[in-house]
Amino acid sequence: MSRHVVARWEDIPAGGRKIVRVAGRELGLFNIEGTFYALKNVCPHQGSRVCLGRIVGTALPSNVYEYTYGREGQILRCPWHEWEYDITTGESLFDPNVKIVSYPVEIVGDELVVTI
Amino acid sequence: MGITIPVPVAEASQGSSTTLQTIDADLHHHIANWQEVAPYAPEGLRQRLARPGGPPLARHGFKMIGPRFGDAPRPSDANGKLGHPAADPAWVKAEYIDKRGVDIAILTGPVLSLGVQPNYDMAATIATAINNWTLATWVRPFSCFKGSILVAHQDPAQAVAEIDRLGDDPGMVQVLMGSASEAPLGRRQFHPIYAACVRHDLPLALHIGGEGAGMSPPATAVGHPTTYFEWYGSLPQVYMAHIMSMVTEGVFEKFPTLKVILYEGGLFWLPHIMWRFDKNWKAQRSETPWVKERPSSYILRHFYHTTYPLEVSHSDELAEILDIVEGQRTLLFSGNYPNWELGDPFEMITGLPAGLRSRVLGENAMALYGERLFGSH
Amino acid sequence: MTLTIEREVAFVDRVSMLQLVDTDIHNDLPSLEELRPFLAKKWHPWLESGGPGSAARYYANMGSGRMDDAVNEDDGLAAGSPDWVIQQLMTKYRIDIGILTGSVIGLSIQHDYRIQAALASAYNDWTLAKWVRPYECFKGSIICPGQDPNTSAREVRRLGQNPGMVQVLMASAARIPYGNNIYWPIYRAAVDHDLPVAIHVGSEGTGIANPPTSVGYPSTYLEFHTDHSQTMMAHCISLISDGVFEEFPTLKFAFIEGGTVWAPYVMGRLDRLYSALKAEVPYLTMRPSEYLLRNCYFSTQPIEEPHNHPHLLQMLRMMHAEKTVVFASDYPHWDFDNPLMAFNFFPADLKRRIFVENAIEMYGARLLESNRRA
Repeated sequence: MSRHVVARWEDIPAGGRKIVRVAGRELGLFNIEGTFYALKNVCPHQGSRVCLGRIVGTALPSNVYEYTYGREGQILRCPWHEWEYDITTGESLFDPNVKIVSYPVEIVGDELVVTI
Repeated sequence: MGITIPVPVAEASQGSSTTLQTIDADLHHHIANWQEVAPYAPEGLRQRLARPGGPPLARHGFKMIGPRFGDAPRPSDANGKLGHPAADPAWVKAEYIDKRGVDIAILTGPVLSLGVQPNYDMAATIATAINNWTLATWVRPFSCFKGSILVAHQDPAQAVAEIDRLGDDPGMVQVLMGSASEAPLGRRQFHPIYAACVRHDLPLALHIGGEGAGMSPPATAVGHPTTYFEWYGSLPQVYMAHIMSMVTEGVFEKFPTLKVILYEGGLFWLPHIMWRFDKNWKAQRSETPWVKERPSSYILRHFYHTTYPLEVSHSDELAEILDIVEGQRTLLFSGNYPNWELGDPFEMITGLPAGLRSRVLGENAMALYGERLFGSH
Repeated sequence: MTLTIEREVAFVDRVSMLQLVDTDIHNDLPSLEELRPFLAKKWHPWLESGGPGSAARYYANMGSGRMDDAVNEDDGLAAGSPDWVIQQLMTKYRIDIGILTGSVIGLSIQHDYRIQAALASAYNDWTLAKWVRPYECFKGSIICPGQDPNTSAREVRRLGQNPGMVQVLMASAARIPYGNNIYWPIYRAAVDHDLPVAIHVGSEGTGIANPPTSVGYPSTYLEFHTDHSQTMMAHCISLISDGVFEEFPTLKFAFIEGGTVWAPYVMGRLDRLYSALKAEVPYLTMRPSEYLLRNCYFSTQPIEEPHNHPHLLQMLRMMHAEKTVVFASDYPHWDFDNPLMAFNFFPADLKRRIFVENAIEMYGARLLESNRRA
């Protein structure tokens, strides 16, 4: 495992994202209310550049015929088959065992450091 | 008929210490004369059932051309005229139940289009009359027959009343609805019916055959079929639509103990449906956020299928499909007596893997229907 | 990958150089105005009004309905220009030849069959001019107003000899099942020109079409989309039962975007019925499953995805996929299958049949003919 500087955290405002290339792979960097996350830019389904998908909220699991909208800005929809992923964990919403590879992110000074 | 055909008799399962029970999940007892059924209707509409030819029932025009009933045993009168094979319970008991080694048969009757009849009260009254008549003339006198609570679902309130009326009767083992419908059965207006089923611990059975009659849409999603052959070949598509609807409308989240039997639909379409449905759900999950598991999980847990008719295939293909759809648990033997045009029901299952035979012949039904199947009525 | 047509290369050698044929690409029509040069003047008032009314379905995808990462910023479309599709799809996924299925299939269930027929013809000419003639990698479909079979037959005959067109195309949404003999003029025209007929899902429950299922209208897009394959099954059964493949033994019929492994149900159930119910269908001389295997083709997309891969291969074996299944991407729709990943567990020879050879058998030599005279 190695640590890599991937961006300046100022470059990614809250709600934003940045695609970077590091250690031979593409990552998506996300800022959710001041906390940063790094996901590999490959969907485990059929290999799309998943981090380019829409950042949305979603209908949370609920009782029948109830609709509870939440997690605005925390859900990534794959641009292809629209699978929903929790950006904070990389896990799909329909099955936590199906997930995008995620990497720990630290803020060091004004830089974001990802451990791959 | 001058030919004696060797008849397979249900054999005991290997290594079992109890008597093998052969449960026939689908026996179409016949109404020979509506005048005999009418007295069992509530007084208000009784005379409507008693009219010559019986109550008005919207029919589709699909009719099998050719000899009826296959090799089903038929009574003949003094002049040699053949009678209906399923009009007389004593005949059915002697010539089918006893001779073929069936222990219990579940009666499903002749009326499969009740849910698309335009007059709600007539439909409900017909259901009540048939249920009372079935109990009185078929079920009470014979321990080998169990009944279904037939209901007309277009008026859920009356359907619920009928289920509550008979739901604790030991002679009844399930609720029965024709699958022909104006609306997919997951719709919320039907949920009280499912509540009533689980209230009485009764599975729900759906039966094709009314499609295209009365208020129902055309029997396929692309219009009216030309022939009975085409119509009957297409009918499993009805079940597919209902499955989709019941799962997406959260019926199995609201009623986790509800079980649904799909009669006469075959099996070979299930893998496609399960897999297509799962694939779409992963994408569209947020549209129905109460569907919390893969749709295929609900399908495997809640739906049962019957053997008559099974698709033609090589036996290894059948084994593969049974593996995919968990047929060792979900497949129920059905005789479909007396509609044996497609063959003898026991011969139809000779391709079953040997290890599944006793499960399909009886164990799966016993697990599904429970003790009520053997209780005195 | 471009084929050098000038060289005299044996057909089979040319086939062996192909890597992938895509039977379903939905090229966009950026604006109805692009049809104006191809549309007779008497229909121009419809253009002045922004086109005819278009019955719309209720059901809507939870996402955008298309591959969000494939949108061209210049026109806001994912398939707005041939060059964009070549870049985003053909090159990226190593597709040699793509069959265009367009975005107007639903015209066959709109109520005014006269303007829809005019638009279909104009659209077909536009396809040839913009997408096919200038590019060797695209082939077109003759879109037909299925609600007017006689006009459709005339359209098939009008373009039937054009090397740029490789099939007839209609919506699977319909008022009457496609085995019915009202459609036989279309099939006669198709076989006269050696063209397969393809039907494609999407417009169910709209316009003059029936409800999307035989028990009415589903509530959700999830059901609606999953229910699509029922229209395919119904048409397949109708074609077999009404004797279309007996009347037109050389007719090839393709089911596009309806999923794949429902074919064993049609084969198995109809074969079970056939022995008892011949009286109604005495004109059939083969078992129903034999017609299906001889005349029918099924596109892969959306490929079913069981957790257990061998299960899918088992179902494909039952329907002789080595003969009957053709690859489709459905670009740029959301349920696109990535050919570089979705079939990696397929045996190599089966994959080759699905990726190339079955499409060659279905479309014939026309698939490799030059489009310069299209």
